[in-house]
Amino acid sequence: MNDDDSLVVQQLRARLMADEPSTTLSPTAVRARGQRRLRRRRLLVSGAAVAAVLTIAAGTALGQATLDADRHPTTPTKRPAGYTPEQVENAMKAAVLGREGTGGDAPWRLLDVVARASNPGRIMSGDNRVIAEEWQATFTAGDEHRLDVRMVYAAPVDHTDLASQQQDCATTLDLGYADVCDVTTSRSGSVVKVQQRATYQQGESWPVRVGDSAPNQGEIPVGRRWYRQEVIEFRPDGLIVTAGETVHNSDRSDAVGQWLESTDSLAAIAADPRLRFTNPNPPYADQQRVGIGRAVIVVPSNWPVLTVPCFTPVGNYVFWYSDEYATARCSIATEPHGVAIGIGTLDSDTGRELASLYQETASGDPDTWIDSGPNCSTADDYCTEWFALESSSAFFSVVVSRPRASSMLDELRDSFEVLPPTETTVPFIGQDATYDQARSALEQAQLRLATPEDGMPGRIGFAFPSMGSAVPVGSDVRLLTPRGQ
Amino acid sequence: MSRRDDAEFDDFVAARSAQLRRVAFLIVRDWQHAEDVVQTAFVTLYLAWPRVRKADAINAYARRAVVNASISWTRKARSEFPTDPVVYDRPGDEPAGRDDDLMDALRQLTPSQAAVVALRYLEDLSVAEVADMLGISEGTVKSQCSRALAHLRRLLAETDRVKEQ
Repeated sequence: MNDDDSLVVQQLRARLMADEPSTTLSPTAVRARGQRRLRRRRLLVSGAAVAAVLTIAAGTALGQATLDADRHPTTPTKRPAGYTPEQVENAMKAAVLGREGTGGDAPWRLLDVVARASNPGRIMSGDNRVIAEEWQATFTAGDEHRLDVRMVYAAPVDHTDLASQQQDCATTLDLGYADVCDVTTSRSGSVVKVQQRATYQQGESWPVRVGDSAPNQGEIPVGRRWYRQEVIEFRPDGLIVTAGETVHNSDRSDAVGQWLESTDSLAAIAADPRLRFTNPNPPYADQQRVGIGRAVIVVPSNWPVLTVPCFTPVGNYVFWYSDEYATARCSIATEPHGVAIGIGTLDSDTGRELASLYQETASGDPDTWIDSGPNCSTADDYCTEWFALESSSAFFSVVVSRPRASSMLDELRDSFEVLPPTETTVPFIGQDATYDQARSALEQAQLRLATPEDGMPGRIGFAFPSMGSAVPVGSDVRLLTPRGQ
Repeated sequence: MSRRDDAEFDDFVAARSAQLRRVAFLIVRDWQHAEDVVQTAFVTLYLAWPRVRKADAINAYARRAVVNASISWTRKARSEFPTDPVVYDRPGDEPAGRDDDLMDALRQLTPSQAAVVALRYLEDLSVAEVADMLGISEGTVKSQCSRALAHLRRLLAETDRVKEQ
């Protein structure tokens, strides 16, 4: 930094100090907010009407979820090939409705099914969980009972262990929102299966929000109290299944007597083998081609392709470089054993900037290969490489943690190919896109939009085949939207 | 968290909140929003405190949380940023104490440039550390720093000249 730059920095610092407000942040207020967040995680109240369902976020424990202190044997986060939405929905229905004696005199019936994908904004807890795909089916048995089954295809958690799961349960108990919170494990080889059972009461007061304007302060009206029990199964293959029952009652002891299911029954649902990955893929056992336009690279099929820039990453994944900030949000620099691949277009701001950064390798020839080369700092435990073929209009930005960085970069770079004219990739479509925009994007890619599902207009859940995947030209693409929201 | 954890957390917040608020301000360009962003980041830190403390990564985690939250905020609020300076009807209507030249200069930086500047020159991180934190190459950090400083130098010089006249 030269003298001029030092002067600018000094000026900047001085002006900031002079300009900043004199107020200070209260640690107590921050802690109070944090504690409320913890409580809210466990108690999400959906809707104020009598018919509202008390949906204790099944994902509450997911973030702190423990799978195995020894790490997962695989990185399953991807819907198995050929596993259609109908199969998922049918499996969820079968797990509940197919059992004998469920629902007592008022058998469960399906209320709705909600599907979401790649939405890091819905990270339930913990700071490192990227949910690749999420399904929830809600069943009713009369007005006062709800049963929900939730499946999350999520990246495995690397950093937590059984102790933290148990600690989380203890914290939940401390906060008074869980009456029972048992963590049980079974071990098979080096894999730990964790099952958590919990009952929650929402008896005394709402989670209190900051400020006087909080609408839900004070005691919860008797007519709006719901109680919940749930069982969460953290499976060795990475799928997390939650089965929970909520019951509407003014009194906790009465509510407990009102359950239609026992926790054993919920555990049986959560453990239902029909809710599963059809065939958990060992790393590199199966591969997928992902990219933009006709430019693709090959990655293991169990790596999720995230369509929304991630928040804090975990595991291996591909993400759509939807805007210039994606890199910052998707850094894997501190995560061990991770690979993050951003894919974007050269005509975006980021694409132009990066292309110009490495322009010394460009010659103006549209078939020029632009490549940053492996960028490995001795001080860091990861390597990066950025590459593109000018004529393909797509770029790939790869970050790989050591120690496999070098070979992995070679492998990924060398897998680059331009698809023949008979093939293309499913375009990335933002969640806020309308169906017209989606249809237009698909038509530009020489693909067809299959009949839209019912759902919220303008909210794209995910696509089948998934966005970024290579498909024959002319293929039908289904877009799913969240339902029942 | 235990009482000891709470006490340590409080100490950390007291020690770091002002500096991290400056980092956030450079990115979100508004003190009130910067404070909100920092508070949000600290809440995130609080939730992860036992784990982060165990990993001895409190500072790095807090910085990352603030930068991520700030950039997320700018993305959400992008459409709300004024593109032109506010024009007041009467000279006396300007808010007191407002440093418009600084604001104008900062407004010229993209949020990612501002993040690089904040981490490099307010937090005094090395090029490698900034690249690590933002997940970009060291070359990008250097080029963004260079461009951002050139922007600031030019704009601050211009406003100084105007003031002198």
